[in-house]
Amino acid sequence: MPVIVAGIGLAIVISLGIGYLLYASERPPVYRTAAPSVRIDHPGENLVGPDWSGLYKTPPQASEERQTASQED
Amino acid sequence: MKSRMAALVLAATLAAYTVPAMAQNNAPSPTGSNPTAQSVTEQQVLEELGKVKGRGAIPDPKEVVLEQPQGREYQAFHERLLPWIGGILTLGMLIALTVFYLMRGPITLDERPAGVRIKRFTVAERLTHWMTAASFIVLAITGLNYVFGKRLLLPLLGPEAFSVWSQWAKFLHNAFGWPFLLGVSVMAVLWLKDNLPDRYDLEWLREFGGFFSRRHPPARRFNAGQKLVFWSVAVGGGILILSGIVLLFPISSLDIGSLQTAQYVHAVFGMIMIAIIIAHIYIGTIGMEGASDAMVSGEVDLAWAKAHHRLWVEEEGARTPDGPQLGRSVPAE
Repeated sequence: MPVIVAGIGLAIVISLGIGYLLYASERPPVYRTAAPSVRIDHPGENLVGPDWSGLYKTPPQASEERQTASQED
Repeated sequence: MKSRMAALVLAATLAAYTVPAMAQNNAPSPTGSNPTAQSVTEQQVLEELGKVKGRGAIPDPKEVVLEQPQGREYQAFHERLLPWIGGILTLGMLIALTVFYLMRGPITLDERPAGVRIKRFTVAERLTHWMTAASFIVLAITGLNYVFGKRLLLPLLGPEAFSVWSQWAKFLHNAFGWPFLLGVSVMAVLWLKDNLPDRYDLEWLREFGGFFSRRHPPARRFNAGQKLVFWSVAVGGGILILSGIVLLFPISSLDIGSLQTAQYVHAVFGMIMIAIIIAHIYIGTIGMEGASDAMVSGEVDLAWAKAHHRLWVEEEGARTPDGPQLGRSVPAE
């Protein structure tokens, strides 16, 4: 009986081992080469730093810049 | 409609070039060639109408198959013929064995047990056997699911559960092929010598192993019936392994037509092997008294060994890969 159990166990180990390798090799390259990713809207996990509020700051318009410059003159 | 118009325009354009060419003198040019004979004819242009043409952009040409009429034959085989083949072979074998058992009963030992146990199979032989057996059972169940699953299990389980089961069955079928490959290869090496045909095999086959006459024909370590099972596993298993590897890596080396051929071979030999192994399981368990001891404990009673494998005991000293266990002085009864 121990030999039967050992034989069944050996079959399971070999099949799972090679099965896992096959599964890994069958995965599409996009998954195989994927790196850990981050969510864009998580402060501290993106390129704009931990203080980013997620709000887009509108750059000053050119006409406003000219107006400001003339006031300074 | 647009494509039809485009085809007509194409045909008219080609015809415009063709007709003047046909009107030219048919005399051969000074170089010996005849350009008129090589030009496109009106009939050729008309024959091109309605055909899908172009270039496939997939890099592997084996994958560029837009239409494959042979696929209909394959589908007819897979959906109609194969279930019949499988049903007749497996159910037919089960029915035949049931009838045989009811008529003949188990093959019993006429002599009293000697009380002396001798080794029939070594640990390595039994380990290989059970590893291969476990693999084959998983392969058979999951393989039958390919053929009968949607007919028998789908109505019982429902689509969701059947999908999950079939996904696992596919994974298990692909995975357990490898220990089966290893087991068949090792068994072929371990038992090849003892399974070569000898002069006693014909007598065994002529008497059908004594299943009906209740007489045990002489046999060495393996009788002709066991040799048939061995060669079925070695050859049939080898064919299953090779065709299975082809199917495991589709399009890697062969095109779709060759894959279908591999599927024909794999499915038919799989069904044949299932039927043979059902008979093997029968004779190794309820069909013959004392037979299961050989593969479970590795030992058999000396009286059993003399009855079923007389020459193995008397001439070979009950030799296993570990060597002979008995001297040549074992008396013949």
